[in-house]
Amino acid sequence: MRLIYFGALVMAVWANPSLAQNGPLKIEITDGVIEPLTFAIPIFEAENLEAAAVAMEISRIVAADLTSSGLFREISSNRFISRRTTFAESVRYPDWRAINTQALMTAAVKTTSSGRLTVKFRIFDIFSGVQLGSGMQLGGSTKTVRRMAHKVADQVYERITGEGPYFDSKIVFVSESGPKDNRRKRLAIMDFDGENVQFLTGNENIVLAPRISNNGKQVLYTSWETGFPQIYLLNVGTAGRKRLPTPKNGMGFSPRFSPDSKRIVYSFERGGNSDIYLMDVATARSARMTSSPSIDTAPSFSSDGRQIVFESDRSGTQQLYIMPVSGGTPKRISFGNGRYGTPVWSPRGDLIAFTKQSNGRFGIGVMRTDGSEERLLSASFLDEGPTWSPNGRVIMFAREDRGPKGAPSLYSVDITGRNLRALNLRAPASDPSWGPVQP
Amino acid sequence: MSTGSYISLTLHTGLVGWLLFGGDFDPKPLEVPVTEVSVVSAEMFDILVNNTPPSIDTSLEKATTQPDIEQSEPPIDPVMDIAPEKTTQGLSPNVQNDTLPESVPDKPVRMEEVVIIPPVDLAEPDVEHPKLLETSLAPKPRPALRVAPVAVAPPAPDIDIGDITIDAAAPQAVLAEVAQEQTAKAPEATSPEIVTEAENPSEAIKISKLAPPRSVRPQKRPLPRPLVETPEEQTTSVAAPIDPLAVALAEALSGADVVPEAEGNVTEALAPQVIRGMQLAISPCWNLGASSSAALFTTVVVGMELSIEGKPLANSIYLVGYEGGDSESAQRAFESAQRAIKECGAQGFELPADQYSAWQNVEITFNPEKMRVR
Repeated sequence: MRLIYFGALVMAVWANPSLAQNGPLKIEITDGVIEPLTFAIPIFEAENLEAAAVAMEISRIVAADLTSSGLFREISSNRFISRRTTFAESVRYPDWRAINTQALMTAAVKTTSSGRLTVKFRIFDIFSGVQLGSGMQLGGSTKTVRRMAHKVADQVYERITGEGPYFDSKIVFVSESGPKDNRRKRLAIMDFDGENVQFLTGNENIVLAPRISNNGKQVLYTSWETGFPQIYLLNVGTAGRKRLPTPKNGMGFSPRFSPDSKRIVYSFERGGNSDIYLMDVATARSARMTSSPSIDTAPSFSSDGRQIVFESDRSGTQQLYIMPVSGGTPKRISFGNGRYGTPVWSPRGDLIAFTKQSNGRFGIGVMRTDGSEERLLSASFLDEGPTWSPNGRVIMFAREDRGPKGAPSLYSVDITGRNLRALNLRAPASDPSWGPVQP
Repeated sequence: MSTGSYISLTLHTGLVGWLLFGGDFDPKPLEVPVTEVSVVSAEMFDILVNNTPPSIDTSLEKATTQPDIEQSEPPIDPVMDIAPEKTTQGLSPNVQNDTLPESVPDKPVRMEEVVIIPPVDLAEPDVEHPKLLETSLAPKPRPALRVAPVAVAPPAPDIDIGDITIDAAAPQAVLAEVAQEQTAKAPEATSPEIVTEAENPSEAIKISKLAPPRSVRPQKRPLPRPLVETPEEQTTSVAAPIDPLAVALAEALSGADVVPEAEGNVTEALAPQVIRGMQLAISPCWNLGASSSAALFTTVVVGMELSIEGKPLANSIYLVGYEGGDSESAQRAFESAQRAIKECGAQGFELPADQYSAWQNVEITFNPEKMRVR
């Protein structure tokens, strides 16, 4: 019966050609361009006289944040045709189209005598001639100008690209000073753009590999404070710290938090053999996860907290392995030429970043969690220690120059491999660990 | 003795004296450059040398589904038991690579607070949307009147006919022969006769063997995946993900054309150059530079209506369907596609007006697969 109906339907279509002629013209576009999206940010309107300087500062930071992502390109205000005077003024789209503006942001800033700061803003898609989403308003203290600007930039970035925010985040790193053969290292924390640096420890003891928790309140790091490498837990708010109890007669290092910050995975070396251990933060009890005569180190949790990835030389060369947190046989995922190390699982859970040493050079790369689609994003004399931005779109790492005067510095790169740029820090830095977006 | 002998005696005496006693005047022995290198501290070295053998189980790959507890220690006190180290507030602007900023008394890191207030009334200001996309890039000249309202006198003739007549030229009685001498510049190396392949089959066979057996081009262009069509849906809301079964049913029941069939009717009615021209017109404006990673994996089909001038009608652009992502990524991919259509279509696409019915409604598939690998 169905065949009869189907046959009748086919005959009806065939007998009435006009039915088939009325479909729309179909075209497929497979080629496009990969260019930063052009945006314009007229200086934010100051709703009162005292807010003028703040408005200018916030608009400058927002533009710098968006430009630093590599996905946007600011149009100079010299080219503006339309000069907006008030926030409520309607947008003259033709004027912005004429200078090839694709996105426009308008905002107004207001301060009060009580130290209250308010920023409201709108985003417009110029060529579509519409406002993107609703306008937003942020409030805070006048002492939070930089955070306010980062929040605004995050909203713009998120609304236009669809990616999660990351501008309003902190990065913990090791600040270095002194000559190369006698470096003094101390923990420090800064904004994502290298501003607002604050030290967390003194420079009396060597510190390594800080790892910030996913709530941004605690930092794990390795310190030689007792003359022996030990794992410490530092409270970011108070700068107080505590040594974590690791198994005796050995060295604990390379710690990292689980996504819920309730567990810690770390390496423990005893008698020349390093294995992976798991510690419950509440009870301080450790459990051994690997027992191989090889060097297993640099563990990192998956985004769901169910697996870890770590480096091991059990196959003869340094490669990456993943295994369930509940236990099981590690599975090798890297098979390329060279040595792989310092793996870090993406917050999205889809990629693993790593350091690769091959042909005398170091590079930062990413691969799928099954080891496929390996891509190198950077390469130099020494690139190492990748860390993910909270949205999983950007990777930061340390790069050190060759020679006796070579000093480490921090770089970031988009996961597409574009937009490699050095962080604007005024002192050598290494071992970055990117914290979450602040609430 | 001669003067030369005196000089020679003096010099030789000095040389012998320098060889015998010159070493006594050296200030100090030559120094050997030494750099002190410290890899580990003495305490660290002692610990490493006196390290006890491992007492833990080192059996190969022992899966620990029930992890063995290595050590039982008291829970971590939430109050930190070690005083904060001396910290500073920030890097001094004058910090050099080899210097450290001055330490200041302890000061904990203060986290500033920013509160997101619920959006106030920040609706878009009143904006008049024109029916057709407006542009200021190429303003049109004002139309000129074809018929003048007042008759004017005819212009003066360009040529005046004179009164003088000139006789027609007569042919010359004897034509001078002008013979240009041509000299051979190079001996002819080829045959004066043209021999075609038809007349020389052996040569043709030899050439044919060098040719590839078949074209390297694909026999047939790969067909795009079928997508759901909802032409009556004139909204920018995100459509539901495409279900292949639903596609098949929709095609069977509605009689709508999928791409292969469309190539046989509407698309066939237009010259391929016209369609290719439209593709080339939109491609430069399809910018995926600010797209999310997820949007780069999302194919969207965008429908629109064009005016007779080839311009997209305002508010006629809608999302037909998407594939390969979620609704969020589809919305971002749709916005990129919409920007491309409006930006590059503002002047109108080059389309034959006499075939308006064939391209009045267009559905464009934006497939970013090739863009991902760039």
